[in-house]
Amino acid sequence: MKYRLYLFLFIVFATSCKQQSVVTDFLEDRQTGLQLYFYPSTLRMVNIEKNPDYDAMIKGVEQARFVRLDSGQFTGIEIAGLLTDLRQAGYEEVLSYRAKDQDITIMALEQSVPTFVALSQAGHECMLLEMQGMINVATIPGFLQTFNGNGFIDVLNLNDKNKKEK
Amino acid sequence: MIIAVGMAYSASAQNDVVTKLFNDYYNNPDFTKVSVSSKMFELFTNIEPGDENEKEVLEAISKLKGLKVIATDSAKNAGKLYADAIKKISGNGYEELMEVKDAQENMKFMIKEGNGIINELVMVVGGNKSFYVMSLYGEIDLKKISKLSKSMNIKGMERLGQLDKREQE
Repeated sequence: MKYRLYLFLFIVFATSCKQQSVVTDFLEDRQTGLQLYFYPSTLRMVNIEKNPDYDAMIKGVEQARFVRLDSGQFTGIEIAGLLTDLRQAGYEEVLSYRAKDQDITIMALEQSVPTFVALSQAGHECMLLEMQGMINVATIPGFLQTFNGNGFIDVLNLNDKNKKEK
Repeated sequence: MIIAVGMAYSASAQNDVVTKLFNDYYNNPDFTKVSVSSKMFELFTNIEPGDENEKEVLEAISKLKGLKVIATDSAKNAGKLYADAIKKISGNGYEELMEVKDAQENMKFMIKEGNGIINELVMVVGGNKSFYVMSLYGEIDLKKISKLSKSMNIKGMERLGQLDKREQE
């Protein structure tokens, strides 16, 4: 009986580890550009003017990772391979955006805390966002009405800004 | 069993004309294509609403089954594309809900109903060079469409706000 319980726990643990590591596995041994990790505290920290609509919007986000993939490091075939791996891990495509100069795909894995992987390709530039949790879409209209770019830290361009200041 | 098969068939047939229209332009690089699956709307039901207003929006979203948009701002024959789209959609069980014409563009909203419920809302817009088709399907409450259009923030969909204004008139 005990053996079965241990086996069950091992399988659950092994499965969950595998699901969480699809993006990590993909990025391993590949050179990436900017990598940013966000947690609830850091997500709230960028909101320097304390916009309440923004706080309400990100309330359900538990963790997010933004990665700017270096151009030339990732071919279209590799990106397609990542999407295949995500599908095999149980992710479903929930949004696709195809334009002349940009492709965006969002995959989602439904579990107690949903995980989203968004992939954006524009020319040679490729960006990836992995997010655990949900953005509250019902608060987006209110956020857009009160949005002020100066009220947020531009985390994606912090390095550029620092270089200019130097 | 027969009822279930019948319902599944009618649900798939419901979107045939518009799906064909989307497929016609799918490989055209001048068109932007957006597709949101039912899974995305399902996932929104996990969100804990903060107040009554949010609850209302989330309830409306959770009843949706999908969204498709095709759009271009560089059509040489936008007028013809608009007329062709209207011709293909009209008469296939779609009922005209509202039409707006001004100097810049023509816009038509069409709905498909079943058992008193709106199952699909189609918006077609044709301008000088612009042409958009949007199909929103599932269970649609027109009174909440304006709020939904703002939530989704997809180009062209802000025009749905005009439906709300018209309802108030």
